[in-house]
Amino acid sequence: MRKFIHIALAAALSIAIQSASAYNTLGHKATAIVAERCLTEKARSEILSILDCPMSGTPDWILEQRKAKNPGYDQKYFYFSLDDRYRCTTKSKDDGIVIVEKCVKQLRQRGKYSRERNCEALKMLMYLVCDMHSIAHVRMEAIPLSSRPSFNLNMSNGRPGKKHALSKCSWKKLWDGIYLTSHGSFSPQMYADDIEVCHGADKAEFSKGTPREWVEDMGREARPMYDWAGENVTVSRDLRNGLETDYYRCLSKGGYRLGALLNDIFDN
Amino acid sequence: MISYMKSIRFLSSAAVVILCTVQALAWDNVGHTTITCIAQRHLTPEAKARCESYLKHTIPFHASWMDYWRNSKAYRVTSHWHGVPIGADMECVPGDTESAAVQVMEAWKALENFSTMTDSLVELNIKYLLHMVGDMHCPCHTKYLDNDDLKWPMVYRKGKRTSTHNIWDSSIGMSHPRKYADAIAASIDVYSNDEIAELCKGTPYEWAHQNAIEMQPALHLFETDENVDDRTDEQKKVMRIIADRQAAKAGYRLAYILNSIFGLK
Repeated sequence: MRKFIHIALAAALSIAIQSASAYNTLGHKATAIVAERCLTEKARSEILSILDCPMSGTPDWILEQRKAKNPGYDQKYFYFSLDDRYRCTTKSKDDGIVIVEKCVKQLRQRGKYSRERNCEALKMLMYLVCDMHSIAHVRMEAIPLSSRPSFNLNMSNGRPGKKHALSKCSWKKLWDGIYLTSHGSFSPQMYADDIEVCHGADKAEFSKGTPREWVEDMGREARPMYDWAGENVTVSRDLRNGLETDYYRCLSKGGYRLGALLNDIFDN
Repeated sequence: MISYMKSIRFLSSAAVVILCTVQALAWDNVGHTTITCIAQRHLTPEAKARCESYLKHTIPFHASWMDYWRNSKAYRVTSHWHGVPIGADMECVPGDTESAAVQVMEAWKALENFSTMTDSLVELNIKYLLHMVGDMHCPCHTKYLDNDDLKWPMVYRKGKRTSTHNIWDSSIGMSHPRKYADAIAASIDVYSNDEIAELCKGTPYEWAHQNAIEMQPALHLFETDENVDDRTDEQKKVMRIIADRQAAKAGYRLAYILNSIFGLK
């Protein structure tokens, strides 16, 4: 019995570690590649000298920090909080946007800090700008946490039978897992290529604004979905497929905005 | 204690369900994505650009679109288009609408006039081609109708009795574990230009006929009720050779069709 309990706990822990990363590692790598392709030569070389590896080589970093129980990395998820008018609330020092702005400030004054500290700030910034574009990480006043099961998912479009039964789903599960694994054999490079084909023309438009405005934009992306899919709502496979367009738009915004922000920090 | 045990039981079953779901979704898609990656490597820049402008995504992105939408009311009719029924003469029936070979031919013919079609119809027909050219080359999608000696056997996999259909559907992934589709495509795409030109000769009907003959070793690779988890190195090797060759043929032929429609005009 003890062995069974250990196996169960290990399995649960492994899932918790995997899912603690929005967009999972594949999504983070893809957005890093998209951002990297947007960089100016000057920004690219500065970033390389800080990271000592390509940007797409760092997404597991935060998971390693959490695993090693390093102080400051015990937070399971990073949330970006908004009030009902889509304004960042920044009530908590652990709020995603507060940390993003702190990292940006440090990197703008990078001459004052050691390479190690700049490296940490840069990795955190890359991680959070990507997370910010997962609707599951946007927390709005009066709306339950997106990681909780919030609607029913029916992948079989109502076909009868036990194996086609409804399953409880959450935005986090859908956004940070199901969509990416439905193209599970895609490499991060293939995702990045697809983002360019899909949203290359929107790059300039997506890149406008500041991180705070981007969180507010994500609030506007997330709100209709949260309002619409409640406790008793069943999301069919058709609807799930249709929402994939929104998912890719958000992922693309993450990549292009990260690139624009890094250019602004390192080549301005 | 009881509620603690209940939560443990819940967590462990949730873990198993989630892990299985992730794996199943990934393997289902790997063969189709690989084939479209091979095709992409052989498209002319014009054909690639035109396809992407209609699809609004890369070509591999829509490799499994037909699988994702086959349960939808709007596309339920396409649910039976994925296989190729083969008669006793080893030929596919040209008028059989429930045949991938016939539907590939139809989509190809329709797209010859793509400039007069609506964008959404062009997009739809490209998606059909991306998936069905792949499907018609999957060994188990050749369905021998009038021959009792040519039936795909049932086997055991991970303790469960299953059709060899499921085994061959995942054969690309099984033969190239832990690799992304673009890397698998690069390792399979090893044919010379002359060999590719030879493979692309003929029509989808002729390709279906050729598959019907060439897939018989695949049919006999496993005995009924054999445990495929214990397959020998020789069986693994044969499976890989057949799966790789079929994927390469499908990729080259898909590129050939798309180039003939979009690449030369």
